[in-house]
Amino acid sequence: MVLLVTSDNVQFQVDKEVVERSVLIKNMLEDVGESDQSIPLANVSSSVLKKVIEYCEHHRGEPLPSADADQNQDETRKRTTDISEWDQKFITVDQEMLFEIILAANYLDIKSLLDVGCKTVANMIKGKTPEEIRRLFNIVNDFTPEEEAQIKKENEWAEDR
Amino acid sequence: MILTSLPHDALYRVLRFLSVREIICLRLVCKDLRDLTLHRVVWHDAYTCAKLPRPLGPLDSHSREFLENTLVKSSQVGIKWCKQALRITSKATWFEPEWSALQGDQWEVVSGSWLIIPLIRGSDILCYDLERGLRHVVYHADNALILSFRSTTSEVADGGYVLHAMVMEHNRSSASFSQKLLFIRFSSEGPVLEYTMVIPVEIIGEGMSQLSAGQRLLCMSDHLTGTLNLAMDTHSRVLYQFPPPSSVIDPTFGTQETYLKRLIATETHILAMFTPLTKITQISDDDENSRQIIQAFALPQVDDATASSPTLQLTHEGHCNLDIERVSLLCDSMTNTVTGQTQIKFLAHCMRLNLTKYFAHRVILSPPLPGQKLGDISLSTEELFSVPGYANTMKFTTSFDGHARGICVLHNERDGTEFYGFTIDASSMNQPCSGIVGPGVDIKEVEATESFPSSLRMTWNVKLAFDGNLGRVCYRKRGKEGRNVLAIIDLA
Repeated sequence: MVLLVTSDNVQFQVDKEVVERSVLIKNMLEDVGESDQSIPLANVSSSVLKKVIEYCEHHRGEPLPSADADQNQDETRKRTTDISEWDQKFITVDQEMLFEIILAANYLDIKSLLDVGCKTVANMIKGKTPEEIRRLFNIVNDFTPEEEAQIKKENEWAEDR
Repeated sequence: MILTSLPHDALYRVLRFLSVREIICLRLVCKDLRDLTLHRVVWHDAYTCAKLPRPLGPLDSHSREFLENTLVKSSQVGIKWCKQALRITSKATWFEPEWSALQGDQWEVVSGSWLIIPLIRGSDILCYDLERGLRHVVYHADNALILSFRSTTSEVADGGYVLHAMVMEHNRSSASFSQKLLFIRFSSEGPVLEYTMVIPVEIIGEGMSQLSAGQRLLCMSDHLTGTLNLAMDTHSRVLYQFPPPSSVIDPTFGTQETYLKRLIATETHILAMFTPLTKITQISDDDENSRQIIQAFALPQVDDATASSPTLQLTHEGHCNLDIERVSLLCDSMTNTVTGQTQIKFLAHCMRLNLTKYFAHRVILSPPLPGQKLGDISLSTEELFSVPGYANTMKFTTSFDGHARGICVLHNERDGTEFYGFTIDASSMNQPCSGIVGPGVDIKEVEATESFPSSLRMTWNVKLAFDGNLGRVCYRKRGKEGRNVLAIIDLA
């Protein structure tokens, strides 16, 4: 068992096998060797870590992507945004949580979870106009009218459908 | 927390799952996202999976602007082509070589830009730069006459094209014949004869019929004897022999002679397709009769290549029930590094013997793993499109921009009035039937203003090129005073 401590000081006891889906933690454990020391995760809150552990628990026992898998994937990558059913349910959360999960997955270096998060964001963007994207993500249009007209002109084909 | 406060690494990852058009859309949202889409890594990444032709030189040496523009142009064509019929943009232009050299099938257009004309019973091979109107002599036969010319073009790994041409020459002084293989490389600089190679007559035979080249392998067959006769590793310039034809592949084939129908070189394999001779004479829709034998050959292990007469390895053989009349274009071949399995995917046009329909299949061919018991090579086919009622009067030609989107022209051989083009998006080859661009309409009629001259009927020769931006159709036409001219039509 490994003891994880979140940014809001909550302790989590997790199976080593489960938590090693995170490359960051795996490396840390290898560095310190057998020890009862807790691992502080200053960037992850307890509500997010709970989700992350839920994900790792579910995918327990599945082979970890190898170090060069990222590269191999590039070759045969089919830019598919398909997400498995369980992952789909798992990632059906509010935006705040979605971004927190992506942030945590990025920090903890859990490639498969990061992909689930990024695919979800990509799926939200797909097929939307810039205005719809702004509304969806609460983004302020910070272009001046002139700038906006200019960019629109340069890229008008992308909006045309 | 909002989207734009995610670290760049994570946002790049999001962008990986978006299309070119969706990335451009993000650019219009806000400044942060605009700046994100101006990073080179985004477009490098998108280019890597776009399967567009590799530009000259390594990808890393190209600017963000170049990569983005190429991708954008290619996407624009895709979008436009799914919404409207192909249009002839430039009025057909006529290009008249200095003499009527466009004889029969013995000419070639490389990537829509260079017209190659051998002077049959002359000594030169000419290359016209169609863009700039320049004329080059790319090859001169010393004291000899060129009797025949066959060619095939392949893309080079580091960009550009290579035309492989098999030329038969008659030496005037010694009255002897020789066969030469020419390698003409095309780059932005123009054509360069890279090297020539004399091929011994005993290897080549007399009736050379098919020449096919992948990025590495080149192969050739003999039309008269229906045999495979030459393969070459163009990297090491080593000539390979084919192993003797296997005795019995299947009992139903054992007793009859086969005819080599199609030979294809891929990056890793050479594929040969045989059909029983009876099939050619008996037209029927009988499944048994439409079985094809497929053999796959690979280069031997590295240490074997030093042998005096290296032989290709027969890696797989089997048969399929698909009637592959003519495989028009090889789309993709890839080897899974984990299993060692090679998947060869190609677009075939399949002419059913009832001659009522004309349709194309994408065929995914997965030979058995090495060492596995030989069995049927499983062929899964997906119908991409069909045109009713055209029988066998249609000619089918394709050209792909690397591998992804392509144009195809069907023209009616009988009266030369029908002219169709359509696009195929093969970028997601692993997903069944997702390959067609367009909302359910796959065949688009191209303005049929141009009627093919009757002389074209005999040539079966229309050359196509598509570079992801512009599609170009070149064909021979009878000009004034009965001279041959090359017609060039640009499609967009």
